[in-house]
Amino acid sequence: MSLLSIRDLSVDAPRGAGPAGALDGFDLDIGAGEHVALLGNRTSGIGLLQALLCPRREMKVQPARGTLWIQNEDEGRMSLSRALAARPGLIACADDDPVAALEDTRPLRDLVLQRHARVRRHDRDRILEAFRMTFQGLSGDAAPDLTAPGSDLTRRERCVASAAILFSREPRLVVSRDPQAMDPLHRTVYLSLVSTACRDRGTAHLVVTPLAGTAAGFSDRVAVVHMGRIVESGPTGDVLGAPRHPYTHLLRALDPGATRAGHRLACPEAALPIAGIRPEGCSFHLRCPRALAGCFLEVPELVDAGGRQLACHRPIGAHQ
Amino acid sequence: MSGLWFDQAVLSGAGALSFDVAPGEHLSIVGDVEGVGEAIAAALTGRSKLSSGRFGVGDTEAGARLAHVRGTIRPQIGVLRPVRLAPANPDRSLLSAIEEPLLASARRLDAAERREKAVSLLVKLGGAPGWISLMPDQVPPLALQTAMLARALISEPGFLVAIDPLRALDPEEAAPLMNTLQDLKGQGALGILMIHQDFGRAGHMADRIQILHGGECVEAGPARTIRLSPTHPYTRMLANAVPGFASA
Repeated sequence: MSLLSIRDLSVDAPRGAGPAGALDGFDLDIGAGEHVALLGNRTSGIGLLQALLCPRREMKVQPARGTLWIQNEDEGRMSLSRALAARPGLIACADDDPVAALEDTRPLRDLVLQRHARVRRHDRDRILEAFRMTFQGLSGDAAPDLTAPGSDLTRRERCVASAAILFSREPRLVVSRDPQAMDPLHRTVYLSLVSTACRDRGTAHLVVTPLAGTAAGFSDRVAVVHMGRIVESGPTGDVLGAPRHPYTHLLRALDPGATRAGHRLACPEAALPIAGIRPEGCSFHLRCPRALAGCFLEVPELVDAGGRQLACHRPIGAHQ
Repeated sequence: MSGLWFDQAVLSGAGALSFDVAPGEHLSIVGDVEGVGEAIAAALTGRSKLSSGRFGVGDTEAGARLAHVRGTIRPQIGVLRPVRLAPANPDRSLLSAIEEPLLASARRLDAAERREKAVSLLVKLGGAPGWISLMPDQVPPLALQTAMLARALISEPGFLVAIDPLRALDPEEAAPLMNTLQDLKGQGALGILMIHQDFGRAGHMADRIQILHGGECVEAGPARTIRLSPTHPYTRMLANAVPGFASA
């Protein structure tokens, strides 16, 4: 029984959002307590899925096709909007940059309360108490003075506070984007805090990232996405440890943690895809070092291939 | 000292720094570097003075007057910033952004000559000639950053000051740019000073690395040594913060 079940989802990039790619017939299941990563670049469309689950004022995203079901144990299966209405806080969205988000002269208690949608007056004390306790549980230190402005907090305290806000309302799913805007130390602190807290609480965690290293460090299952479609998915250790799709192989080779000094980076000759222009056949064939004639005639289906799913006409390690 | 050098220079964002970059060499300054890149660029382009310390290029030390710096040091420097801070007028074509420095540095060139220089440099850096007629928001981030690199190098400076140039570029976009910078360095004429927070990529691209923490340099040396066997605790934290794969 999946917590989140997505079938044949197609989402177009909203106007004026720049080259955000599009999702095309996307399927995904996330079970209760599962840690899943979506790995893809800015034209892959995975940012649109994050925007669907974490609505933002500046980017409204609507599915063009497909279904997205939430299965909450008490209420049964529901559409996303109904599930969020019945249980706001079911899905909690991590900050892109907690250090910047808490750079605020307002008192911390106001910043905590404003993160919870539709808080009733008698809920406020309970939420603040939950925040204090969660903060202490995550960091071992007592929560800072809630009347002090957010900008008084150190960078590390802001990471803990942001994570504490996330978990105060007991979400069943946390959605994170790789916080690349932050300095690398606090980026790792924040991701680790959120990931560990999810494991401790049995909360599902969806990480959306362009970096193979982040997917490797913070997920049990990964789906590699190219131009709106999943090209390889399976257990993280298998998929990123021994990639079979040439695109997965490329992402792993280009990861900042994996690059080797003195070696020229193996990047494809052809330019990156321009969002919205889909090549014929396999979407990756123009940049694929293994492409042959069949690759630009037919779109490869996502099929089971020994413990993982793969959409490729000439996967690495094929017996040919 | 040869090359680009700073000697006990006090910059905003850091305490007293000393470093040098020779032509054909890449020095990466990594760690607590917020504001440091801009302060270095401002000093080198004669926009602001150091509160103490000295800097220069080769035998030419920067004088006390900003006009002196602008006349002697600035022409030898090109600056590249993160792509979201690209100095490209959104209402003008990329050609205009790339050739603009020539209007001051090479006044004898006419429009056709400037255009030819811009296109040939852009192609040399891995760009496509067709980009010059496009606007900044009509090209992907890698194309814009490549054009900005062309802008930084069009007046043939000896040194490139790159401030967090790979920020917000996906790995597939950063890779061609990294290869281009490595090629330029390998040709021997350009020295690269990169101030950024990407410890992993510094290990890949740099010949030498300096680690800044709390306003001072806590560790410095050959890139390979720093990347694989860091000694200072802060450097070790940076090494551990490179996500996912074990260092190799």
